[in-house]
Amino acid sequence: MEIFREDGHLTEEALAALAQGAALEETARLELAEHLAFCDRCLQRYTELLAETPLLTPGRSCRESLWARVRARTLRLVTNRYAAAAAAVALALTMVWGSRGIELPQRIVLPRPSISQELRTWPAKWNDSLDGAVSGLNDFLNGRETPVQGGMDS
Amino acid sequence: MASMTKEAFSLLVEQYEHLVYTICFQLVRDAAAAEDLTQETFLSAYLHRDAIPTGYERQWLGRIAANKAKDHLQSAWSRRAVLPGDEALAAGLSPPAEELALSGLGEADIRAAIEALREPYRPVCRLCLLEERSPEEAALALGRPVKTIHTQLARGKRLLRERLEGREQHGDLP
Repeated sequence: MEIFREDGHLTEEALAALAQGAALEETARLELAEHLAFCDRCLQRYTELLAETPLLTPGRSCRESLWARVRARTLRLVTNRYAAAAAAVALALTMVWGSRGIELPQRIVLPRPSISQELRTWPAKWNDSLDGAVSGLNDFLNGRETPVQGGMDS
Repeated sequence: MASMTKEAFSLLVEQYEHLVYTICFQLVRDAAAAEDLTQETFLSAYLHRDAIPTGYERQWLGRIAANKAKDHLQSAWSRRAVLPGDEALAAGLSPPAEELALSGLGEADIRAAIEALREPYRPVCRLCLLEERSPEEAALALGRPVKTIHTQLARGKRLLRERLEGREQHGDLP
């Protein structure tokens, strides 16, 4: 059976065989699908033929599972966006802290303060630490490498 | 074009589910695969529901279904389309067998073999192999998608190789 006419469109015979559910060879079905995927004229002829024949009923309807898949896809998209944002933040922090760790000063061991002293000085230390981090980020972005001591442990 | 609500889309699914399933089944001839492709079709349609052309829903869904069936058949065909001897060639080290078969022939032989090919391979091979047009140019000239030109060219070359190997064995074109 000829699938294609000389003008490149599908033959009546091939379309009728397809619409009537004839057992066509796999290559023939692939060629038919390829053509129907882009040719408006032949797709129109095919769907008109289908309108004259009883349609098939799927064993399981896709209606319920379709909405489950839509929800799963939406969730995946949202999760991927959050994951990408988290990865970007982690990368930025790694770069900031990594650049500051290149020239660490020799560690000085100081007497450990009591907990109450620690708590009283904590806000100031936090501010110092934050200033240090911002300063380190600025230095990193400006291409300078200055040893900046920061962090909460002194 | 107004965006379709979930309720309106549900009605569309209800109205065209049998049509889409029939198209998928008639092309792939496998009930389970056809059910999956039906769902894939409606999932794609839902994700692009803003583009549904009002009044042409049947055609639009039919096009998506044919595309899904084509992709399914193409991947199955590609998995199996390894000719005897191809598996021994390390990928990327040897030129494709089709290129080797064609390179050893004169233009007249190749032209005769191409003219003996059937639709839809003849015009694609004529443009790309004889006239040395790019797949993009051939796609424009023939009104086919570039991806389709690529697959038809690959299959056309394979047919040419089989034809030329048959000629070597029998002394003439089969």
